[in-house]
Amino acid sequence: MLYLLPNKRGIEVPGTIMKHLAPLIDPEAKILFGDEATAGNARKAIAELDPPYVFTTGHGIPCATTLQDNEPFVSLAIPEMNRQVCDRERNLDLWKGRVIHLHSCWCGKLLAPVLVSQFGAWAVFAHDDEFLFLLPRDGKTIDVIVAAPFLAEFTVDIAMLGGKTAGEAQERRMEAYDKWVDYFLNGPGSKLDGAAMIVRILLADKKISKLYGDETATVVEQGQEKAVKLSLPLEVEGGESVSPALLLIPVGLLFLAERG
Amino acid sequence: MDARRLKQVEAFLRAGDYNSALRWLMADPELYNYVVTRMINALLSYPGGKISDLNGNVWNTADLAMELRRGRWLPVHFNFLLSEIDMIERELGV
Repeated sequence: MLYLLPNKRGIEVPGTIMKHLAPLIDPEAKILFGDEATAGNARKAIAELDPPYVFTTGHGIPCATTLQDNEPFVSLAIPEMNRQVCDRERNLDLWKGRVIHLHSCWCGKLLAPVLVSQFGAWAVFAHDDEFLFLLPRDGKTIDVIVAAPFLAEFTVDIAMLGGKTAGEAQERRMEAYDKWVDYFLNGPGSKLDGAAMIVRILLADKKISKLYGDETATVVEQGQEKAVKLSLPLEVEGGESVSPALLLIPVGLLFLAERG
Repeated sequence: MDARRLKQVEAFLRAGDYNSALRWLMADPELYNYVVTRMINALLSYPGGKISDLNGNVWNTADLAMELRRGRWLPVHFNFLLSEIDMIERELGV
């Protein structure tokens, strides 16, 4: 399977976590990490490996997802939505018959369903709003409160690589969010700084995490699901100061609550 | 606690109609204050913390709390409003 893991401009945390997780769930994982996570390398790896399953993370808007340094990777041609990234179609031909975990903001709104309905993707796991998380307070240490949303989300990959169907993986995903909510609400995590905040984030992320396509899709033969243990804390690998003016930031509206 | 009003606010949020959600919530000042106070307390539970998304947007939790205190709602607040309603409904068992 193929894992596309940028590690700059806000993607450091998921990139680092999946870099450590992928070998545990998939001994034959092909990982393109950091500066290797380019569209050209991804296309080449897909041509060479023909992977039934691709995990990709990066910035996202409804019509596109990107890789390292915000390089457009998969995009629909909808320039009125975003002239820089959705100026033309990119890499839409890569997904026929594959299952994809498209771990970027907003792609569930349009790109994921279109990959299924028009470009033959078998199933796509995506988010139809912003995927939120807490940054390491010291800028580098990924502890349980930082990792939790990703550990819930990456249940998808553990399940799919464990022989589950996409529908079963989606059920595991939802259960995982609930388990982490319970951990921080009623369990040992409730004593941690930020427990109340991460519960809200987990609930928000759960609501936007959707499956598109065929619930019966599988990527490996039915088998025994592995018990996966990832050691925490991890240290962020990569990154740079986050630009305040990134290309893909949706133009936000400010709502003023005028009282009385 | 007007659980039916919360349900209606939730429905507007799920439909992406933030203006109506906020208007509906503010029509019950007691409920509005209750929900917003809970949201502020949650944000302040992680002192010095920063929230991010996968697009590299970063918000200081203290700034988000301050904006709410001022009645200024950013889009990200609405993600948390939906979570807060979820929490309240869990507690109420509705």
